[in-house]
Amino acid sequence: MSEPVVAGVRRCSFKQFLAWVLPWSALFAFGLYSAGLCLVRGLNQTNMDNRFAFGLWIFLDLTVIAFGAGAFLTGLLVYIFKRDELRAVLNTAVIVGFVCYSGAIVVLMVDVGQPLRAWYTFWHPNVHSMLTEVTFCITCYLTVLAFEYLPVVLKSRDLHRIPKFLVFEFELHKLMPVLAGVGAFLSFFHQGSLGGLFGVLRGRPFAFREGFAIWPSTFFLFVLSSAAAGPSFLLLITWAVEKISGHRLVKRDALASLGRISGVMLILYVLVKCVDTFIWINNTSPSVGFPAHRFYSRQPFGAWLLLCEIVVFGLLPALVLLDSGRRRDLRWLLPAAALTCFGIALNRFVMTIQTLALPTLPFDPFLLYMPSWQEVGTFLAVVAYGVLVYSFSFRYLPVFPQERDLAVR
Amino acid sequence: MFPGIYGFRLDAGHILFLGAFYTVVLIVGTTVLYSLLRTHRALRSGREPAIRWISDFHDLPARDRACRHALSGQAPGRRCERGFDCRDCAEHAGFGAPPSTGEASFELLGVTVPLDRWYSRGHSFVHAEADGTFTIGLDPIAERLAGPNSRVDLPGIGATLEVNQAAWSITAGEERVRVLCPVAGTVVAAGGPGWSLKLKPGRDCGLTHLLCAGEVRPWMQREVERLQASLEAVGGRAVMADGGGLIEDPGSAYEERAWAGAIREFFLEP
Repeated sequence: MSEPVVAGVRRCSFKQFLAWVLPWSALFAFGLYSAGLCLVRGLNQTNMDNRFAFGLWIFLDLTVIAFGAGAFLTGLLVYIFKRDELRAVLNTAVIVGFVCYSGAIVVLMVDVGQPLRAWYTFWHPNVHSMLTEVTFCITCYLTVLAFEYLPVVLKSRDLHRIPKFLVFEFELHKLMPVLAGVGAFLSFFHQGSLGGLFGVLRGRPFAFREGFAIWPSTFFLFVLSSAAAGPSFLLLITWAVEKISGHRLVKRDALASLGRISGVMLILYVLVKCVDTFIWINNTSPSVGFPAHRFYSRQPFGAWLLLCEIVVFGLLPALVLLDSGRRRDLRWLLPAAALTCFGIALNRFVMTIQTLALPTLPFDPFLLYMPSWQEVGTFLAVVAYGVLVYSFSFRYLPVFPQERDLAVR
Repeated sequence: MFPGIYGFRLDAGHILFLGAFYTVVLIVGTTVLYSLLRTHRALRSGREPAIRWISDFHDLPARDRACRHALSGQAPGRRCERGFDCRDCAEHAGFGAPPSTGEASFELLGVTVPLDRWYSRGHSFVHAEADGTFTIGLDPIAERLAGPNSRVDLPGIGATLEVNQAAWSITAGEERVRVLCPVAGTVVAAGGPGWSLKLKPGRDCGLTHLLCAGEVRPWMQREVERLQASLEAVGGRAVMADGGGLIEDPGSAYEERAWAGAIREFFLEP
């Protein structure tokens, strides 16, 4: 039995919805317990230490923030560059972005610990730190995303009937181009700074890069890679929601458009990464006393990883996404988008885990890190949180403006 | 963070970084405050009904925003962007007057639709009276769909109404839907046989945005198809096969929620 909880479209019955959200809620509860243990008992609950200070959580942060880039890119393209075909996925981009950034901030809070002292970062900022820039930017951007999400919430049937909410939603919506512009500015800098913070690690020659002015090349690589991953992730989410709900939600040209944007950004990323890797192998790494091949002599982090990152998860999906015929065929588009997302996640894994696993001093051992169950639990809590927020939004809010039209065809 | 706080120095790094941060906070804060201010002004100046219609119209599916000239076959595929208010439409006049049918009325699904009046896209009619007032009510199909047991909430005498503002509401079962006002004016009488309101027209009371003569039949046929599609979309059964007629209380044949959703869509309420 379907229920018309959103105007003109069908949603599953409440019982079915409950059966869907209950397992995710249980996972979320388990994750909260894990995170609670880390906050109360401290980071001894994790398998990180002074040498391996970045683990699963930082990998998660970097990955979800890259995936959340679809929000700023879509907002920029719709409101500033008037790419109207992307309006179909704008709301879902905002929700995905909100989930990704809020999830990342919560995990960062658990990782850093002492959340009651979080305001120190803002009150006494170290303005020369990439992490300070990241902290300021993602906090501001989450605020922007919350204001972008608000009109979607106020569009819900019950809230829309209240005159104050209706008019506020209307007026706020008119000013969305301003928020989209600010969001793009913030995203550019914090996506870049997340990469930049690895590039400035002089003590980690595997990650250290030279660059332009105060920004190492990883700054620009992270901006480009997140701009490639965001639209692909959005495309995959939209397709997954279509499959799970059993409804057509967007026209295929919107998905193809996302694929094209992703393809353009990905090929740019691959090109810049190739140049960057070439310079790093021949110049940067040897200049600090490390021939680059030594970094790939410790298994499982062999040269195959670099090859996969650039060719299998970079060049290959980029070529598919740039082919207008293939990107209109879901059998090509979806695997290409999945490869893109996996490739960017792999890049974040390499930057976080491989960087810290490799020894840099003669007495340093090669370290392999496995996360504790508390770390995994906290990780899963973010995944469950994302699924829950999206599920409730999809059920109760008008997320896809084309859904009603597609329902009657 | 601020001068006087430990760690703050008046150097280029602090000025650039914190300057950018404060600018962003200022822009975001100003945007939200400006929205709140505009909200306050709009509510005070009574613009809420107009905004509601703009919002509702924007949320209608594209198929429901078809231009009247698309329905009459003059401009296939054309969509309305003006909230069904042709008075400001530059292209509307170019299509010429609606074709005359020479009929006084026509039958649709066993219901008689008179053509001595104008019809709005929100399913109300306007009939010009000899005394200069307008009689307003639900069109015959909408009247039948509302059913014999629906409750009507009318505005008080003296109320001023604008085009496409919610004029009155009908409650069928547990669902309440609003009916859009077809013309601007002041209510001089409410609740008569076959009509709901009598309006003394306002200053800007053109009727060019309303459907008449040969436009009415194709529009009503389309509306019946739209109702059918809505019922199917919300899980209702297929309805109204060719040759059938509307029963006295069609809502009684449907599951309440499905019917409520379809009726809301029929009256252009998202």
